[in-house]
Amino acid sequence: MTDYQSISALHQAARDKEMRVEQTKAVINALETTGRALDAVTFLDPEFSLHQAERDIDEARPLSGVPFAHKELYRRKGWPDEGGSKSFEGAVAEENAHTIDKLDAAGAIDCGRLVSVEFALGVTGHNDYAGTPKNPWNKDYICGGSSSGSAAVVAAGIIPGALGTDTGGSIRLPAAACGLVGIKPSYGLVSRQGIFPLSDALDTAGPLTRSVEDAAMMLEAIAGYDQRDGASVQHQSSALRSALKDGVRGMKVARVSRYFLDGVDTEVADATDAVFDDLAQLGANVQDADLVDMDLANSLNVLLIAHEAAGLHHQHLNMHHHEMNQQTVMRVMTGLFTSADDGAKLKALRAKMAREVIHGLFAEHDILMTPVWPFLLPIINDSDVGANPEAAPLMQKIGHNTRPFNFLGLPAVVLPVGLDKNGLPLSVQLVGKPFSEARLLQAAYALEQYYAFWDKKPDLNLS
Amino acid sequence: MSDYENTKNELINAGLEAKLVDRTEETAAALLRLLDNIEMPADEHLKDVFEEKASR
Repeated sequence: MTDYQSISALHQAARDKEMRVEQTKAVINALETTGRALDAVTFLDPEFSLHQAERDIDEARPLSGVPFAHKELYRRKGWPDEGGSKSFEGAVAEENAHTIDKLDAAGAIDCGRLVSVEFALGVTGHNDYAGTPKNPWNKDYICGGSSSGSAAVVAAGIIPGALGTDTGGSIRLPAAACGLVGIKPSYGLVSRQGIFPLSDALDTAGPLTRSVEDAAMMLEAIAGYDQRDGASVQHQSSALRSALKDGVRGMKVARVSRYFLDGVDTEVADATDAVFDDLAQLGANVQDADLVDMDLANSLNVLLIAHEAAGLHHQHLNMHHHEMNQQTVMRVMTGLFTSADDGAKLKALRAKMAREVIHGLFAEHDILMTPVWPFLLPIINDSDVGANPEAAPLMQKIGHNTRPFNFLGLPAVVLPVGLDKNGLPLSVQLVGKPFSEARLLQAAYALEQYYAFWDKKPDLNLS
Repeated sequence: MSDYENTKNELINAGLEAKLVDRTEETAAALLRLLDNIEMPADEHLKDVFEEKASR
């Protein structure tokens, strides 16, 4: 594949069938070589992908002819369905995920399945069965998780966008670690039907891309009501791309230091404050604000994931725990000590807390901005909790700034704003009220233009 | 006995490390204690909140 092309550029090139097929072959080859060298790829089906490339395309559809790939949790009929776990080795999907059907209908070309952390239960990206993807910016460092393979191949320039899932930060953390744009949509905006489930109350599905515009295009393609997903909301999603270039002038941006900036690494805090200054330079109205109970939302998100994961997977755990990573077993098993009543309380409490935040902070502000990772990225060997139990407390802090927004169901967009002292991406997170994705992307686009991170590319050295 | 209790007991009987069981129980208990002093709202769901928002 030609290096780092946007979805629009690839779509233009793909209008010619011969070019489209050649483009797809190049992507498959890059996934087979670079993608596998990054330990990011679990399954390729070149015959299927080339068959999709040979279809006639509808040029009016912006994703037609565009290659993409997806986290292995997204099901495609006839492809493996292992949930990143040896305990599901040999399982085959019997249906397509709703989002996969939508991308098929949009004319996009599915080029394969990408590594996930086992059951999506982990934020570092470690997976001793499917592989632990290497960060394209420096192969010694983690990609973050759990959509680790998705982040790795997009950051390596193999495909313009990939799908991930986010239950506690699993799109945003790897996107931020790899210098990408990642969207965790509002709860209910994108169907989870046909995606390996972890928590019905918290799972969300969204894109990881190199640019804000590409992220908007992918989200437009996969968003929409689906009666088969009980959380799906009848929301008339506005066109996300039409307002991208409207800028941030007059936009009210909240800076909440309590919880989100307290205790984070100095370099991360300084970089975030520099972005607040730059937003003000661009015309945004940056205001200090307060938000309480985020530590509670963080902890209760952990508990609700465990509760729901145990409800979904306890029988599988019982039969196959010896084939699973001990960290995964422990995280699911925590939920066995909760009751159905605890689960009902958690869900009612999150609805109450979401209502308070929507009518509180977001009645006064358009956007909340926070850091994503609370400290600089760790290297792969130091952050393997299975091998180094003493790393566990630090690793638990990784999702500190992402988990509260799964609990509250709010949309969040992450984007890169520079590089840290180790040459790895630094990113910020923009959060808004439900279904405010268009506004978040508008602000993200303004920052993207300002920082021009699109021009920055990792020097892939995989030897 | 609940389905969960059965599974938990079967896991323990299947030879899952007792230390691991203790640790997960401690983790769950610490998290559940957070709920002890919170006044619980009436039963409602996030989807209800968001559908109310979406219909405005």
